[in-house]
Amino acid sequence: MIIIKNLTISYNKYQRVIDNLNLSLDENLIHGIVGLNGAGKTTLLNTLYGLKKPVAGTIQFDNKEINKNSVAYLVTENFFYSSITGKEYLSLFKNNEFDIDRWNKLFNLPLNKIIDGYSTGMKKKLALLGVLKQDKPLMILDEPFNGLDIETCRIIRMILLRLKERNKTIIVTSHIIETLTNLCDFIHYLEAGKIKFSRDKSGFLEFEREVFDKIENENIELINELI
Amino acid sequence: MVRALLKIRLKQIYRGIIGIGLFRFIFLVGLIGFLGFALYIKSSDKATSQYIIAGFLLLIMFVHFKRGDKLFLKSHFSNYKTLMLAEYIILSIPVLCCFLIHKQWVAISQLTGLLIIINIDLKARNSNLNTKLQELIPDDAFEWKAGIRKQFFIIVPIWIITALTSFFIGSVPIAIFILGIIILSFFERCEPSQILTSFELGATKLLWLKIKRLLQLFSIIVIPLIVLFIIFNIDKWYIPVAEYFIFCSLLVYTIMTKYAFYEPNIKSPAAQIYVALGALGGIIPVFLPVVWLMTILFYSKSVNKLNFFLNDYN
Repeated sequence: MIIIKNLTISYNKYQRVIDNLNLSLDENLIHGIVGLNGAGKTTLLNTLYGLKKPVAGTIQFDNKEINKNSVAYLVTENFFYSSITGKEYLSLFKNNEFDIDRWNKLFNLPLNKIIDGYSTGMKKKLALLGVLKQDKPLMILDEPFNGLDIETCRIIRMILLRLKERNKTIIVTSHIIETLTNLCDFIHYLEAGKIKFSRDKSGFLEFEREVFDKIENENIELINELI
Repeated sequence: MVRALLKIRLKQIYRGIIGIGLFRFIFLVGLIGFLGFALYIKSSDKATSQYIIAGFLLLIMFVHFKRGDKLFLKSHFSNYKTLMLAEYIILSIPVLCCFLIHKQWVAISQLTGLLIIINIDLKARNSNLNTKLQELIPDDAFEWKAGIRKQFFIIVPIWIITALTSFFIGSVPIAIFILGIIILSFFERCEPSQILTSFELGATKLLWLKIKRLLQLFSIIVIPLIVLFIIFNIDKWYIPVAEYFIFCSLLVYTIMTKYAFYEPNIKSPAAQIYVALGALGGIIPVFLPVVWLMTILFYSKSVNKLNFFLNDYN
């Protein structure tokens, strides 16, 4: 189980991006984190992985402090080192059992070409292959479906569901609620640095309605004035 | 529009100055002052002014070729060529002033070359070169794979020509110098944090791995040339050997500087300035002890910096 206790994260002393957040995530399940732009999703994930130090609070995985050894992290915006090929990038991750060529049959990437010439979607697929190659018990995927075509989105969904069956714990964020409701076991709604509510599969419909109603109610007046 | 763009450029320069800090800014002002003074003195000679204008136009051409905002300017402004010309004219003011003072009318007229440069529309092509050389480089030496791929058509001809002309006393030392400087550039850009953590090594072990790879690969390139030099010029054996050790020091210093100022995905301006200062050690050996001292200082700074990302692997 991943237990986040009293987590506070800030970039300056005046503003807390994550404010005293508490959350428990069961293992071997897929957890979705939803929030509007600026809600703190990426900051939370960066902190989970250890790229940002929290001001206060603890994060535990399997009753131990979370450790990069057990986590694979896909960042939202993937940066690659210039002038290396896809294959060279993947060769950096140690896993001899991972058959790059067979896995690549799913994504059809030109792995012998340098990454600089890849499209946004291709870069995302390559980064995903890197994360899959790491084969860690906890996978954190920040916007894994951004910039991908329908076919790849579906393939990734299939892969993630299969990985869950193989006892992986997966945390996913997405701006598109539908991609999460089709995939996750739990969805947690992040607002103003706090988890406002969590829903299991039976509550996804209600959750969607709640989020969309909230957004529409907040903006309808202004839109009526403008158009 | 030109005014708005130049205003943005001024703001960028201002933020850049703030970013590099007071000490390095003073150093930079001193360096620019020195270059300005040298330009003023040298531009008085007619023949030298021809070299100056050729160098200046080449420099502008290089900037024009490398600038990344061409697509942005083209897609938003119909007069994008005027905007670029205005920037290049402003850059040429110091040169123009020196030529005006010394009445170098021919050189001034050659500045019209700027009109040709703004009409050149070359795009940098990504080299997909995959040779046996890349396969021979260990997987973890990604900087070398990238660097050799980018500079393949410079490194390989230099190496072959040097090997063939190694009986000339200057050939090997000059080649080691050029190859050393090219290899220094492999370590300009910091890798993304995913690449850093992919090694699954602690900070100290990662740094030592980097140093080991650096010395191995640099030696593989340079030692055959040194051996050839010694065969033909045995009495001067110490020249390339000393140069080899100087460049080994500089390369280790570069790695330490890179990681001391490591930030994912960037070319650290501070690291670049320190590497440029250290490179002086390659030209003026008096600076070498400073390079060694800085290497030790930057080693502990690098360990501290990397520990933030790699502490879980310690």
